[in-house]
Amino acid sequence: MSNFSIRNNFRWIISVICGLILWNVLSMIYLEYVIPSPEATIKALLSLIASGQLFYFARITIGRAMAGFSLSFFIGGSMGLIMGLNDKVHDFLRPWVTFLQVSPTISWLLIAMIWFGLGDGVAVFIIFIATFPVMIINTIEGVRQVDPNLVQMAQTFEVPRSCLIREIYIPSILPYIMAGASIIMGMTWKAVAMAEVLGATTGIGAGMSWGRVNLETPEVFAWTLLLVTLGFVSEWLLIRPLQAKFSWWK
Amino acid sequence: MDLQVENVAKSWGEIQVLYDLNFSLGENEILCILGPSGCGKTTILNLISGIIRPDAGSVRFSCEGKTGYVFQEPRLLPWKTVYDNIAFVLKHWMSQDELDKTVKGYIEMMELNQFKDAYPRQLSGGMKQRVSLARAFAYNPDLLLMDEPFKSLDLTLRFSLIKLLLKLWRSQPKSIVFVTHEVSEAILLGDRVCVLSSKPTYVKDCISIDIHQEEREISDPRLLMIEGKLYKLLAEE
Ligand SMILES: Nc1ncnc2c1ncn2[C@@H]1O[C@H](COP(=O)(O)OP(=O)(O)OP(=O)(O)O)[C@@H](O)[C@H]1O
Ligand SMILES: [Mg+2]
Repeated sequence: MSNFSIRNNFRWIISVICGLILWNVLSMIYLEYVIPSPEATIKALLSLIASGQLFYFARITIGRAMAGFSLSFFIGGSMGLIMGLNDKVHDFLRPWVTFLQVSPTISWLLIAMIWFGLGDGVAVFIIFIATFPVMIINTIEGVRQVDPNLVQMAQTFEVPRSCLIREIYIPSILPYIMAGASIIMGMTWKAVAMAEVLGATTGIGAGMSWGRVNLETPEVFAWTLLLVTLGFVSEWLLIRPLQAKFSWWK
Repeated sequence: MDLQVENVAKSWGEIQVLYDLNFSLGENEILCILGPSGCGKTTILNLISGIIRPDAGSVRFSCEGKTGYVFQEPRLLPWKTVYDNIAFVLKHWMSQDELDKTVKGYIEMMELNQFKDAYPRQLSGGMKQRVSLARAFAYNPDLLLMDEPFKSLDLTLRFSLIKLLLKLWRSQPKSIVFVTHEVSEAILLGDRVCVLSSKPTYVKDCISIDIHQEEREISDPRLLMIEGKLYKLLAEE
C-alpha cells in the first residue's frame, strides 16, 4: 500500500515536471504575448499579489463561487431527491432538466446580463444554471441505487417512512450526492470565470478579460493558475474529506 | 398466531408459480416448507407477509399481529453497527431503556458480544445471519417468516445456527414458517413439514414429526425414516 502510493506520487511529480518543461519549450518558440514563460507568469502573479488585486478579486470570485455552488447543491440535491422518490414529478420535470443541460451556457450569460446587469447576480446565476442539472441527475441516480431489499426489510418491520428516509435513503444517496458535489465544484470555477469575463468588472474572470484586452498574456496565465489552484484546494480541502466522511462504509 | 393459506394461486406474467396452495400453521408451531429451487418459496413468504397479493385464494390470520422476516440474505444496513442494526427495527416503538436491554440481551444470546460495535462488512456470513436472526426475534413478532436463512453456510455452522434458533424459540415461543430446500434442516426444526411440487406449485403432502426438537439427533433412526419419506415425496412426480 505505502509502496504503491510512493510510486503513484513519483509518477505524479514526473508528470508535472514534464508539463513544466513542455510549457517552457513552447514559450521559447513563441512570443511572450502568445505563450508567456513560467517565469513571466510567476512575475505577473507576484505583481498581482503585491498590488493587492489578486486577493481582492480572489475573494470576490470565491464568494460568488460558494454562493452559486451552495444554491446548486441544496436546490439541485433536494429536487433530485424529490424526483428520484416520485415518478410523476420526475417525468414532469425531467425534460426541463435535460433542456437546461443541453442549452448553451453562453446564451444564459447574455440573457442574465440583460436581466441582472453586471456583477454578482450574473455570476451566481450562471454557476447555478450550469451546475444544478448535474446535481439533480446525480441525486436521482443515487435514489435509484438504493437497495430495494433494504427498503422492503424496513417496510416488513413497519419502520416509519420518516425513519426509512433518514436511515436508509439518505445514507445510500450521500455518496452519490458527494460525487455530484465534486463534479459541480469543478464546473463552478469554470462557470464563474466565464461569467465574470463578460458579466462583471471585478473578480478573476474580469481580471483575465482585462489582461486579454491589454495583451498582458502573462496576467491571463496568472489568473488561470489561480483558478486551477482554487479548484485543487476546494477538491482536497472540502470535497474529499466530505466524501470520506459519507462513504466510508462502501 | 394461527395462519390459514387456502387455494392460493399466483402467476408472474405468463408463468404460473403457485397453483392451488393449501396449508395451515398452528399457534407456536414451526412449519417447514420444503421445496425445490425456484418453486416459489420466497413468493409464498411474500404473500404471507403482505408484500405481494395472491391472484386467487386467501391468507387468513387468527388475529392482528406483527410479522418478522429473516430474509434469504441478511439485509443489514452497511452503515450501522450490529447494535444499531437490531435497534433499527425497535426504536420507533420501544423506550430507550427497554431497547438497550433487549438489544444487548439478543446480542448476548447470539454470542455476538465482541461484535456489538462492528459493521456488517467486518462480519462473516454466519455472523451476519445471526444478527438478522437477532433482529427478527428482538422485534418480538407473533409470526416469524424465515427464507432459507442458512442457505449459504457450511454444514457445521448450519447446525449450530439451528441450535441457536431453537434456543431462541424456546425462550420466546412463536409461530414460524421456515422455508428450505434442505431436508436435514426440515427434520431438525419442523413440527410439521410440507413438501411442495415444482412449478406450478401445490402442496404434495405434510408430515408431522412427533419428537420434541430438543431430543432430535440427526442420526436418530426415527428421523432418518422421516428423512427418507421426505426425499421420496420430493422426488416423486
Ligand atoms: N417479482 C417477480 N416478477 C416476476 N417473476 C418473479 C418475481 N418473483 C419471482 N418470480 C418468479 O417466480 C418463480 C418463483 O420465485 P421464488 O423466488 O418465489 O422461488 P424460490 O423457491 O424462492 O427460489 P429459490 O430457491 O431460488 O430461492 C421464479 O420462476 C421467479 O422467476
Ligand atoms: Mg427464494
